[in-house]
Amino acid sequence: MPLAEITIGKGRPITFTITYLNAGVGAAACYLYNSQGLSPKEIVGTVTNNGDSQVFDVQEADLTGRLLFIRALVTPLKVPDVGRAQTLVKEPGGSGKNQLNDAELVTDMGKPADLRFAYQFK
Amino acid sequence: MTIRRSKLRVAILLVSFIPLVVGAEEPSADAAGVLEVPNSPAFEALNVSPTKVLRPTTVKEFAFDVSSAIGANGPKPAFAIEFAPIWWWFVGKNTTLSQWRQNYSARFWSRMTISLATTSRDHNAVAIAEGLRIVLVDDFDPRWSTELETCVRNALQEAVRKLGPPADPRKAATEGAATMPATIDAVAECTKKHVADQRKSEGWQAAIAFAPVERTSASDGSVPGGWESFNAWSAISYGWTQRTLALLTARWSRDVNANKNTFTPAARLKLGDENQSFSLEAGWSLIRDAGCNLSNGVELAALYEQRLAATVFLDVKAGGTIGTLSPGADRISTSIALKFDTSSIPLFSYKK
Repeated sequence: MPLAEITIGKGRPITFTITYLNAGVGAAACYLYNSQGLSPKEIVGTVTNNGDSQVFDVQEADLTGRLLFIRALVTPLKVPDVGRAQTLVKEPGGSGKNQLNDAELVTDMGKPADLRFAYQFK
Repeated sequence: MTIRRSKLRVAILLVSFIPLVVGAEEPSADAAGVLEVPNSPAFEALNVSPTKVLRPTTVKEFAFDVSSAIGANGPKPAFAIEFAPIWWWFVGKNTTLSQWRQNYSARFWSRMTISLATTSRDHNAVAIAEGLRIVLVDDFDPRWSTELETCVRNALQEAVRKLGPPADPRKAATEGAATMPATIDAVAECTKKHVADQRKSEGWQAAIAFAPVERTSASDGSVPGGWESFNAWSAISYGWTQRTLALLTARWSRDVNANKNTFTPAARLKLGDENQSFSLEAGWSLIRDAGCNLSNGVELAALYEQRLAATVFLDVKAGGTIGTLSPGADRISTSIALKFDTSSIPLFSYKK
């Protein structure tokens, strides 16, 4: 169940990375919700050079109580196989631990796995 | 005691394979050299075409499937399983696409599949085949294609942004994962383009497979258990395009009970394109029987293939056999047939 709680310190920005595993290809969209789980705001990610992962920098003044939702579509290039992605939240200036989470699903090319992750900030 | 030994032997075989198996893959589209080695050597060795093949993708599924194959009296007949558990463990699970491209070991393990099959024999005995297939080289593996990767990634990026944020993110996250309900057309288009491009490219392919077959003891004790046969395949090809290629194959099999060995190397040169092609084939069979007598034969054949429709081909084949394999003699043959994806209809046949 890829829903994790994370304690945020004072460090900014929060760096959020999603990595596509099982030698597959993926793409993700990331949204930050308010404390009521409403008013999602899209966070634009950058694709790293090798294409294996995407990095999102969350530049917000106060993340307390907010929810970060990420959705990834992942497909293997060789089929059928397992689509797998791993997310990592790094908090460079804070005291909380890095949060690692992953999800996977057997899938087929053209019908990718729809993997969802969420981080609830305390 | 026999039952216990049979169950133990199956268990040992399964366990001994597990550390070896870290990979898997389906053959590439039009993968000539790779396809010459059977996808499921265990099924081929038993000469069975199981209607139901179990394909576990997790350790849990695998354990369940295997336990269902072993009954109170030992292994059950008519069981077929094929698995490629590289992604079950850390070796594959944490491999990204660029790591796969850079690391031969990851590629090697990812191209290994294991198949297991059982079938019934006389006196309630069960024959068990364990197949191992490794693709050593496959330049046509789609994972090599950066064009395909970029195309698919762009298609997925567009699709995921179209989905937008969920109304209830907590619920969506708790669900964790789901398969997309419909095919993403843009991804399917990427695949089509890749296959078309692949037919114009060149490269090497090589694969090997091995499948021993053993038999449990008869329930009445009249026939002892033991090895029944050993089978091995190999193929290497070089394609100037995927429709113009040179191919070398070999198959060896040993019938343990008859103490008979058969070795069959063959070569094929295929020239043409996806609509028509001309192939020259030369094969040699060498058989050594229990009395150490050798017999051999050479088969030469020419094949012309013309596409009539998307999946319908007209095949015209002429060939001859020379040697001591069949008493009686050398012979020639010609045939014309309509060939479909998985079957063919003979239209004309002549043998002398």
